[in-house]
Amino acid sequence: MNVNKLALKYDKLKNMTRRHSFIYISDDGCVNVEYCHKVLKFEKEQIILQLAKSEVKIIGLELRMENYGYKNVRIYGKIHSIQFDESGREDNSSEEE
Amino acid sequence: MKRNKKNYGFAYVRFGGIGGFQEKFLSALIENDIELYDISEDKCVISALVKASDYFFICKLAKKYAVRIRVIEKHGLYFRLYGYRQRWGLIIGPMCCAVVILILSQFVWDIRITGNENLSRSQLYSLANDCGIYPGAYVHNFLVSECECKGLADIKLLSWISVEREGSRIYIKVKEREPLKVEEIPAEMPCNIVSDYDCQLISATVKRGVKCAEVGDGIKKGQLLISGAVDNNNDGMIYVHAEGELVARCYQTEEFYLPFTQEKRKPLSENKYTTYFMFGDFSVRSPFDNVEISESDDISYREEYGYVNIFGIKTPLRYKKGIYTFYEKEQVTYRREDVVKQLNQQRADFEANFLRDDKVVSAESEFVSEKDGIRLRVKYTVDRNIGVKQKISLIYE
Repeated sequence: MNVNKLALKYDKLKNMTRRHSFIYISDDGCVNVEYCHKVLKFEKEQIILQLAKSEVKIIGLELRMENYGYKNVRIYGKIHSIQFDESGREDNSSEEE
Repeated sequence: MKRNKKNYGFAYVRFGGIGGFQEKFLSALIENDIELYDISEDKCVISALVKASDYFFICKLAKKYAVRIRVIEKHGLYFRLYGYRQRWGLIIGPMCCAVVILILSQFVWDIRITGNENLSRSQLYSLANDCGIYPGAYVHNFLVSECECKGLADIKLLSWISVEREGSRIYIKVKEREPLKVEEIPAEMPCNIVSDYDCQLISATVKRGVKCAEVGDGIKKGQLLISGAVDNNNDGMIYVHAEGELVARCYQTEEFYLPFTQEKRKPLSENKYTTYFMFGDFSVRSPFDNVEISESDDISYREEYGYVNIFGIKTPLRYKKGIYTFYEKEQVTYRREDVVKQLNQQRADFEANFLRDDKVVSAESEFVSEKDGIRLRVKYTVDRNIGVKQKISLIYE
């Protein structure tokens, strides 16, 4: 088997077992989301993504999306805000107790 | 990084999806690692750009999630060319062009000569022509190395030659040697005239210098005939460039021998032929000819050209016929008269080559029969110019 193919499969496996997603925001109005689990809502003004532990709502105008790599998406357009849904977030205080 | 919309690569389609579970459909596409570009939503219609090869898979997924999709736009070279699929001329044209270029590149079309000064271009063109290099020649029909060797052997003025082929162009680069100068003593340099043969002087005309031998004297090879050292009465010796004409009578004997039994090369009555069909300079050998030649065979080869006739009508198609003549060696015993004839021919050849510039006064020939052959002995009496110039070397002590 080709080594490159093996590396891709390993990368895919690693992504499937990931417990966190990462969001990178760049100053050209582009949001890169690594390991997007699902697209919950896709509209012109808002996009809701299901990530590993929470839902993320991206609000803006004329939002567009494209994917790159495995479960990686890029959202661009006139982004106004990014909101996290509290329900999925870990309670750090309880962990401390 | 956003994809530049003007650079769509080979084949991309923009599809639009209405109704159904659009978000789940998008998620499934992302899950299946389908590359999607420029996903947008407008009035409950999602649209995205995908590779044309992924479209059929997308159709299956769309059906699963009850999304009705349709192609909105097609981009890329494939779809651009697809519109011209019925225009065979567009395909055949470039193909014909490529074929023509391929065929034409197999021939020589241009010969460039550089580096010649005294040698004329026509001389070098003629050399190239002899080696099969001329405009229209098939590139595999000649060897540039052969041309280089032949050039150096045939043209004495060449000191270096390079024949290179670049595509359909032949570059002949030459370097000439300095023309060979006959070593003549310059007119201002003092010299003597000495004899080149053992002979008897029969006439002497001195233009400059002092005569050192009289008419009728016997002369040895190397003997001084006209001296360049002249006594200038009161001022002592002066040295001049001796000049004059000295004709002497020389006697020389030559011998020619031929045996009665000689080895002769005799052509066999049966020749062998090969036929080539000519397409321009390109020749194709007929598959029906099968001439086998071993290295030990003594053969000669010549070619004949002609036009192919079909039912008596001359066609523009040419053919080349290669004729192999085989020889065998045999021992031939000649009669005395034949040997004498051959010896006379040898003598005539000798006189034409070596006594060309001399006046033959008499030639006494004598045939001597020996056990195996005949020997011809000729005593020549010739009048020739015997003087050669020799530098005067002055040694001061």
